[in-house]
Amino acid sequence: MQSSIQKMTRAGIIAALYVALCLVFNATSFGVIQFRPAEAFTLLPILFPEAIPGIFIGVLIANLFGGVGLVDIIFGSLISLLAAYLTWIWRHSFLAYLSPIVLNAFLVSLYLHAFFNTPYWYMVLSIGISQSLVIVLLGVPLITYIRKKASIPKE
Amino acid sequence: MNGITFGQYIPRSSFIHHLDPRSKLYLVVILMVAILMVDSWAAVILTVVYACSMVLLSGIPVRVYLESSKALWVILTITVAFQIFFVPGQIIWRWGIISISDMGIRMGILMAYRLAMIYLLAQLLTFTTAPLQLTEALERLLKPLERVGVPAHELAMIMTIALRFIPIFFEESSKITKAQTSRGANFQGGINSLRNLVAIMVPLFTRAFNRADELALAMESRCYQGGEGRTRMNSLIMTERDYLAMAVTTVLAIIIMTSF
Repeated sequence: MQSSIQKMTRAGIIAALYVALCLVFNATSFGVIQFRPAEAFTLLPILFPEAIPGIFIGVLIANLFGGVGLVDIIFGSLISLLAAYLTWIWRHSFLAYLSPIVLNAFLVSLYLHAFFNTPYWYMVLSIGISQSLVIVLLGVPLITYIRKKASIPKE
Repeated sequence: MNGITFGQYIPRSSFIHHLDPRSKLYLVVILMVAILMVDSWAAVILTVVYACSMVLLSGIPVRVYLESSKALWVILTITVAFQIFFVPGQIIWRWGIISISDMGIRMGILMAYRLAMIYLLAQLLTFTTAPLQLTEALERLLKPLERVGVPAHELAMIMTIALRFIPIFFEESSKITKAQTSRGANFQGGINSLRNLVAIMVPLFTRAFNRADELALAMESRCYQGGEGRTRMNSLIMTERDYLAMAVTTVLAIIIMTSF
């Protein structure tokens, strides 16, 4: 039986993990593309609905500490919230894996373009590639592992 | 943790530090809106002077601000280069297919200004406000939204738990990285190192989840039952200083938004 307190602590823990990984692998990059390995956690709503607020708060704090400022804090975290929610809604289909990639690539680039006039398609490509690699190489193995491990109770 | 290079609270006893976190959030948001609307050199100078005086009032050395803005440089460079080379206008310099226009230079400076100022405001907020104060401010500001179903207290509690555990997980992931490196894992860049990160994330995640369940048990056994009727050790109180700062900033923002 899961209590609401347990859901809340898990959400907090997921947020903390997200931020901690951002801090540790702050400068993980591959050529011109910057990676945020913590984005692998965006797949967690497939197994745990409480990960939705967790990722939202995690992105909020991480961007507060090291994003490109306030625009990133507000819009970046809201986009992650939407992506996490959609991942949960579509948890039984492959769309769950696509939502954190597509939403981040198109919408983050959109607000960066709207406020700072950054080259839109360049950002879409750059964010899209880095998100896909993180999701495929890190997120999917993580989810597969948690699914197999019976000692972690799921929803 | 790795020094002060990641926008964290620096305790001082300055005017800005003593402002209520709610009024600081207000100042930062209204200034951000004003900065996004700035379109003249006079307004640029006015906001830069105002922000610089806030930086000086914060009692934190300018060096600290500069040192912690490394993340900004990449995006700043890409943005400015894009404006200078691709924004059309009257051409003032040409070399082959590369040309620079007057509008390009103007947009480049304006966008660099916006990015840098908005970044600076976020720094000012996180340097002078303890994370738990920010959390409390957020809870108080979201309180009215509870009626439409926004779980203000729960979100604030999630944020508090997160802030409490970040340093612990930071240390734990460093330990796991060392343990896996000693077994021959390579985390030195490239696609393979990204794949190798699984070896860090899996043990980190398993341990973290056990902690979450222990924490829930500890809270339950202490009769935690949500935000209803819960009191705080230090409540937030607005003072004259807050009203003064909010009034001055509001006037400045209105001047920028209306007259330039």
